[in-house]
Amino acid sequence: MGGDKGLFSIMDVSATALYAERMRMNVIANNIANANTTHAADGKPYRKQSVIFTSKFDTELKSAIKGMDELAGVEIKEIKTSKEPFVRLYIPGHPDANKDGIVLMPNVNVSSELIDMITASRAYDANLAMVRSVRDMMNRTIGALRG
Amino acid sequence: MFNVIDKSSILLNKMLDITALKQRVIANNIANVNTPGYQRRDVSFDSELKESLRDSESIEKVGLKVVISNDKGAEAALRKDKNTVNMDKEITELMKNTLSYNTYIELMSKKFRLIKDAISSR
Repeated sequence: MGGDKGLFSIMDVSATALYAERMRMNVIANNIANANTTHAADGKPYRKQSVIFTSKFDTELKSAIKGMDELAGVEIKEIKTSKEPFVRLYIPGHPDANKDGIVLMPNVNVSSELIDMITASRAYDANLAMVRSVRDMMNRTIGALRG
Repeated sequence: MFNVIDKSSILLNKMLDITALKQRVIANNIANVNTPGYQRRDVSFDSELKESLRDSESIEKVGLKVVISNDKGAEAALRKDKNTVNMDKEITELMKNTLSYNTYIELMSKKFRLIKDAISSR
């Protein structure tokens, strides 16, 4: 049932998403925390990071069901550091201001990050709902076998 | 999974296979809701299930496959990343499919009990 690998393995599919979305939320939280970091480890302003997802394929799977190998969930392809330009603010008294009083601020748009956070959070919840459904289905199957 | 030999059991077995596979497909769709360019998947049959209801042998042979859903990419038009998964629709599919599966399990369970009673009665 559930193709060749059974209901139980469906949880693995959802688990990949729970992990990926949680990593994404960590990255977003880090972006927000560093939204005002004008002086990061390399001495330059903080550069925002974004997580790129890609579908996971089960390349080793030999299944009678065509397309089954496409159902392995999601994984993180890469964590990109944004090359978008820094934001230029005019703050003459700032310790990191240049001779024209311009401070280079991180290329983080907090509103946009918050929306991403909500999207990731919703996806996380949806995958959790899937895990619960499958657990419910499996419990009922066990109950049926028990008679 | 349940090898009780009678026509309706074979059909029930097939329906359980189909809903279980569909659950996996829905799980993958939900897992990939934020994957750029991901196309929603669905379950399809090699041949018409209706026609094979004539004899149980055909039902068992009906092949299942996972295909890219041909929803005319309605969602792709809305999303910048060309992902065709609609979260709300997917959650609804999840609920419907879970209910279907639970129904079939219940029917199978009742069958089991009937046979068990038949065997154990004097």
